[in-house]
Amino acid sequence: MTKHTLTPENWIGLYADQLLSYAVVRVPERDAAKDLVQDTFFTALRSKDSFRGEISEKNWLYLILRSRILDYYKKRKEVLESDLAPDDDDDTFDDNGHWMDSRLPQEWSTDSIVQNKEFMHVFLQCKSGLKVLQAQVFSMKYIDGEETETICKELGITSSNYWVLIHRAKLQLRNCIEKNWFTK
Amino acid sequence: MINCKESTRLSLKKEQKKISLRERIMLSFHHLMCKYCRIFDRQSAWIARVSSTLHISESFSDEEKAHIEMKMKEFK
Repeated sequence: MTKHTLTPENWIGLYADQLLSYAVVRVPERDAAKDLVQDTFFTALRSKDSFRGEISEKNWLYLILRSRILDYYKKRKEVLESDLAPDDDDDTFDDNGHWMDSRLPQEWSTDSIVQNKEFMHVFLQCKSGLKVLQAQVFSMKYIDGEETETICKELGITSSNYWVLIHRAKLQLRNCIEKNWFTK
Repeated sequence: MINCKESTRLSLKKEQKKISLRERIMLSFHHLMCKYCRIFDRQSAWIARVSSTLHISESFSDEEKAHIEMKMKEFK
């Protein structure tokens, strides 16, 4: 097996933009994404003696960034707990659990949208509008394709917390995308 | 009989392959009667597909890169 080596002098040129593109779809603000990438490089430099060359430099940097992103959410633990408040129930449904008139889903015409850059920005903006923990659960599930059990473990939440969060996230996001793109 | 709130929750369970047979039947019955939850179900699955291919090319400005590079040098 070939041993991988580190060449920190090339990191910025090779990986800065790639890592930023990765971070920007996973955290709510662009500036936070930039800080996390910068942090990733510093952390990598500081721990470069622990690099054993078993994975590529690039994958190693991605792993560090991924753990920086998790830490970023963990630091917001107080905020996170308020996301689970039972009275936080959104205004999507009435007391009988039926759709509110203003939230009734409308038909979308989704042809040829998937690679549309402007649409992607609306999508990300809507995701940024979610509560912190909702956004995190959504990213881990739908962007990273993580297992539910992994998400619960990493964020320290129960499976019923998970379902509440993912449900609220999906309802909010769907509504936001509809209002800001499809019926605009 | 389940309501729309419950039905949308089951749509997500279905999407994530965590739905039981009983829940699947309840969801299908609800969908027979409720056009809006059928729309939600379809759009929710679409959002899931879009999310898994979500990609945006972002870059640092040259100044920002130079700034990070400079700070990295201070580490040595």
